[in-house]
Amino acid sequence: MKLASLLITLMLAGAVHAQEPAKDGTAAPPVAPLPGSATDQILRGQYLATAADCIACHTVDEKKPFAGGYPIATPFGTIYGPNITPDKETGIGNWTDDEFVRALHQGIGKHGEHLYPAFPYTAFSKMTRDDVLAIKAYLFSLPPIVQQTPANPLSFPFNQRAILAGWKLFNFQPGKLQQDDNPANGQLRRGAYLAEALAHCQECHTPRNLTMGLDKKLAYGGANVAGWKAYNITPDPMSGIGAWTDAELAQYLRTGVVKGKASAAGGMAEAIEHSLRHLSEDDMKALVRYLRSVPAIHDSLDSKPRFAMGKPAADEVELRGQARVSASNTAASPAELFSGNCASCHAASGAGSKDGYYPSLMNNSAVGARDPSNLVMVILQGVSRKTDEGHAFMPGFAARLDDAQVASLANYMLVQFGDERSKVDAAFVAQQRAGGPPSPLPKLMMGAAIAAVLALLALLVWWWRRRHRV
Amino acid sequence: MTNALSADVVVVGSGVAGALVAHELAQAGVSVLMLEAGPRIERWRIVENFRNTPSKDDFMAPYPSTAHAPHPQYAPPNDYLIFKGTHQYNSQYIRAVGGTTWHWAASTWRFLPNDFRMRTLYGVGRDWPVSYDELEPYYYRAEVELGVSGPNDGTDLGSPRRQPYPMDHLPLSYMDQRFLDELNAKGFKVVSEPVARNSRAWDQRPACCGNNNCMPICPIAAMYSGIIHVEKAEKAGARLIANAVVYRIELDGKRVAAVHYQDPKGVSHRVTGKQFVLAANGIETPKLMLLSNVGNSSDQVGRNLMDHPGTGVTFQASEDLWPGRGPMELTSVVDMRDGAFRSEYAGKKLHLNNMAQTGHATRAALHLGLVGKKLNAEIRQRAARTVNFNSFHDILPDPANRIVPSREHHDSLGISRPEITYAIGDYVKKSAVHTRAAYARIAQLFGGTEVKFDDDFAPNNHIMGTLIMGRDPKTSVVDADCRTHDHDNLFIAGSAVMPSAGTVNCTLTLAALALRLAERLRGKA
Repeated sequence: MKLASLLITLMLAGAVHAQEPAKDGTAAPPVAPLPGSATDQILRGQYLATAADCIACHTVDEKKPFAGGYPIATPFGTIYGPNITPDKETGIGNWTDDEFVRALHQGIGKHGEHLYPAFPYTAFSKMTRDDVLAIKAYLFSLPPIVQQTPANPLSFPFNQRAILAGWKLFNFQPGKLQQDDNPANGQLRRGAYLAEALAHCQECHTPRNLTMGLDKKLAYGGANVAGWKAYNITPDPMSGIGAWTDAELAQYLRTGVVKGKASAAGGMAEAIEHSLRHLSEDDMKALVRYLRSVPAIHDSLDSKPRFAMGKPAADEVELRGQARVSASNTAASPAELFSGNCASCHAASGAGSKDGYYPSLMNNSAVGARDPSNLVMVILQGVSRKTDEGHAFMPGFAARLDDAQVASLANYMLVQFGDERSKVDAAFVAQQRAGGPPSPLPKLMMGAAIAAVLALLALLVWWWRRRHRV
Repeated sequence: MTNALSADVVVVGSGVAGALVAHELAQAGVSVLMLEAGPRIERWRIVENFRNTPSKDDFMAPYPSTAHAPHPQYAPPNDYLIFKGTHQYNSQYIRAVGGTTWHWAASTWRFLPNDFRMRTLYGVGRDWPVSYDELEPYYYRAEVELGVSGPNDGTDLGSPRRQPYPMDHLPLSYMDQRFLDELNAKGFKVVSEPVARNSRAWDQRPACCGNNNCMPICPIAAMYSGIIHVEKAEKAGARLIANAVVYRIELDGKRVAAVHYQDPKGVSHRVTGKQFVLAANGIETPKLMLLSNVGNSSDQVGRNLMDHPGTGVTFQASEDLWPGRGPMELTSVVDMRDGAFRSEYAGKKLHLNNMAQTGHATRAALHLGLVGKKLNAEIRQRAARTVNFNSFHDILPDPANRIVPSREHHDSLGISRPEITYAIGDYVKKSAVHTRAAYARIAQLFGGTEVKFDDDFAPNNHIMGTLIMGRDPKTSVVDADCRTHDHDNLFIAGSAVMPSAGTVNCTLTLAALALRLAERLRGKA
């Protein structure tokens, strides 16, 4: 009984692992305001929907915003973000205010069914009713789009929404944020509201416990999401972002890049592109202040911040004047692989371009982190990040380099530009290609199934013996 | 020994033409097999070869010629092509997966509508059996497939278009902007050139960042190369066999039954199919057809060989211009492409060379015997002020300009090497006199000293005409659909079918023709 509920909860929380590539194109939140008294509420709702990044999971085609169909991979099948345009048939056009509020606050759908927690109602539950209704007003101001959301092809028993009640029991406390009312803490309160209720930062940056709920003791301490590492963003100066200035943090959340510290890729680039960069100046300051206030989490293996790693490469000198023209597709050295694939943009030294468009590989969080996940993911998938600064783009090399070549390149970079204690091998690259470490769930399930069969056999033997004992 | 290899459509050659056909058909669910004579070579290897080779000006140097599928090399020369006639057709092409667009300036011009009607309008050359208007939609599709950036600012390039360029053009370099401003004020027409080079991220490839070595290799694939569609075709399900040197086409009555290739060990393989597309460029394709005695009832296979004979000028400008910023070519002079004069002499396009001149500057400075600070200063000045223009002259199709398989010379697999007979006629020479006057005027406008004209009619590697397209089976090899008149299931993809050379690079036109051919084939396979 307990094991069953554990399994269920594990599976559900796995659902936040979105594996789809970034939508190509910047979602454009600003829409023409409607005339009339509702305009203010709609505009506020638009801002809030952007801060909550609704578009990320409810849009596939940027020409059909909020029309749903975005696939979210889970170990048990794909969950699709539904159509939340006001279409009455395929969208949420028939939802009442109370139904909409119940969905965000309690994770319960129109027909009373439990919603999968891939929908982060654990965070949205902390939103005020006013804000929730503003989001609804905004969504209902958009043109309805007729688009059926694909069914979620989950297998039994995971397609039984009733079991979600069990998960909620362990991992969901509905209700407002616990906040003081000290007038001096207004900014801090706003920051907490942004991080905890709207932007749902913890969904990626907080590790999960055994029941796959958020491990509150390690809040913002860093977690793995579909092969990417969402870093420790607590104020610890070594393991977190304590050594960043406020201005740098704001710049990062606005543009995705701080020269000499980090460049956003993967899910963080998406969050910045669609959501965070649109925050007002005041909200950005509040969010940064709040992040500064959460308990620092230190990892004793960290002795330097992840952006403080690396030294310039000097292999170019060694490479030239030695090799001849060759037709071989096997590199003579990792340095050669780096030169041929990476140096044209990131420079032979790895220092990148002067303007920072091509980032330095030294003083770069993705390379300097002890966890090499993001380095490998960026090599495989590249970078796409559209902000007011333009389109930061790096092509992925997944189709061009095999696992051993990627591992060789990554190891060269880890030694040269990153944390030389880290190492990757071809098997790790293969795992990253497949979207990160497999969920422990199938194994646990197999174990549970075997245990159940053994228990049944034992029971049968006991029963047979009992019957045949004279 | 023979292997049973088969596909609905067999494509010989994996350059831009063959790869586009393969990709279109594979996407439509047709089974496609590409046979490429050369090896598969990775971009990073070519980049490293470029960095390792001392001869940076030799664009073939990073592409090693293989024993089984040799291609022409010039530094040092491997004498693969055998030259007869008064002019050496010392063309470059690459036998490797992806083909010759591994290195090109990526200029993707459309022909002018008048280029299709040379006989009717000017009484010279040949008319095409298709018009510009018929080709226009395919030009646009080719621009999208290749990723073309061009002037969307209202600049008229003479080729009417229904859609804007997929991408805006890249910003001009300081030098290009100076020439554009100065020459346009003095009666020339200088324009931003349309190029298959990304001005923003496009098709999962990055924007150009001005490495300035488009030739011999774009290190970041901001510039389009045929390998892009090879990989797309493979992803869509097409198969490719590298190092498969097709040496014979086998007929069964009037239809092609199979092609035969040798692997590098000389072992022969037979490949059958329903439709066959030859896309092995304007030299290797006619060689193969002549060796197989296929498609030549007109006696035009291998004839009408064309290129864009080039002349050039180099001078020292009286101001710093700093060539080498951005890609290798950005602008062209287009006011001499068309006019009544074409009944008398060739139209042409001039282009400003934006290749970094540091190498040439250094050699020139060393040649002056300078040392120390003076040497440094001289290199710096010459690198900033050396200006080079080149040109493409329209040449007329002449049956006497031809490629045949050599009777005496063979490659290591025993396959005949190409023997080329070529001459430059008065139509071009007369035009070149006028070109030289234009060069002199340009040099004068920029206070040019050390003005050196290059009148050698340099090759530009635009191999056209040798499988010429026409309505009459007696005088042409393929029809308007690129199908050979002689064989229902044999098609040609590539610039060899082009009946006129025009004044611009041929790649966009051959890409448009390849897409049109693929559309026709999709209905048949």
